[in-house]
Amino acid sequence: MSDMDSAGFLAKLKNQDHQAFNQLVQQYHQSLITVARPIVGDSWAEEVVQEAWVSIFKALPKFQGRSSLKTWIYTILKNEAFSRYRKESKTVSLEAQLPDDQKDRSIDDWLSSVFNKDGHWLNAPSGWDLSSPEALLQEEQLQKCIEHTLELLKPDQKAVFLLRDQDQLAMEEVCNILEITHSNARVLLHRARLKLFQVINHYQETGEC
Amino acid sequence: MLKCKDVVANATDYVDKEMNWKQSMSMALHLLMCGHCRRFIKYFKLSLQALKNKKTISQADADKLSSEVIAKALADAR
Repeated sequence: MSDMDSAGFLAKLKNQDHQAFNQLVQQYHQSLITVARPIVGDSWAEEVVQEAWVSIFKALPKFQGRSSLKTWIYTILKNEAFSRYRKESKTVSLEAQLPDDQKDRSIDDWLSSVFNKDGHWLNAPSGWDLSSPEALLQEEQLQKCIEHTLELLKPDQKAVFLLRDQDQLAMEEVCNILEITHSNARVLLHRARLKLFQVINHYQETGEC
Repeated sequence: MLKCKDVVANATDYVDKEMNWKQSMSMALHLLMCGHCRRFIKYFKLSLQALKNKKTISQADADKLSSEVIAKALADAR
C-alpha cells in the first residue's frame, strides 16, 4: 500500500486538506496528462486535466474507497475527457486509431533483424552489464533514453503502458479507463514493452541511446 | 513446436500469466531447451523495472496548479 492509500492521508483528502491535495496533484498530474492526450489530443489535454482536478477536489468528501484512490482519480479524468471529446469531436476516438497505431515500423525492423528466416535467433541478446533493477534505475543516461522513448510512443500506447507497468493498474482497469478492448490493450502493451526492451538492450550493447 | 520468434511475440502474455495450459507448456518446453530465449525473458522482465522512476511535476508547479484548482472549486461552490 502506498502512502497515498493510507487511512490518515485519505482522511485528510476527504476533508479537502489543501496540502494533501497538493501532494496528490504533484504525484498524478503528469500521469493524468498522459491518459488525457490520446482521448482529447494535445491541445485539450492540459485543460481537461485541470477541469478533472476541480471535479476531483469537489468530490473528495464523497470518496468512499470502493476502488483505490488512483482508479477513482483516473475514472473522473476519463469522464471529463470523454465528455470533452464528445463535445468537440475533433479528435479521433481511441478505438478508431488502433489499427494504424498498432503498427510500429521500428519494432518490425528490429524483429526482422534479430531472427533468421526459420524464426530462431540470429542476434540473441547478449549479457547485460546493468542486470539489476537498481542498476537500471541509477543509470542516468539510460533513464534519459527511456524518457525519450516514452515521448516517441503513440499517445494510446504510452497511456496503456504507463497505467499498466508504472502505475500497476489491473488490465481490466486500464481498458475501462481508456475505453478500449482487452485484446487491443494487450497489443499496445506488448509493442510498448518490446520497444522498451529494444532501447535498453541497445544501450547495454553500445552505451548509446 | 514454438520458434524463438513466437516466444518474443508471446512474451507479454507469458510474463502476465495470461496463457492457457497448452500455451504455457509449449513456452516452458521451449525455454527449457533455449538459453537465448531464457535470457530474453529474463531481460524482458527486468526492463519493466526500469519504468519505476515516475515522472512528476515540480513542487512549485504543483503549488500553483492546486491553488488555481481549489480557487476554482470554491468559486463554483458559491
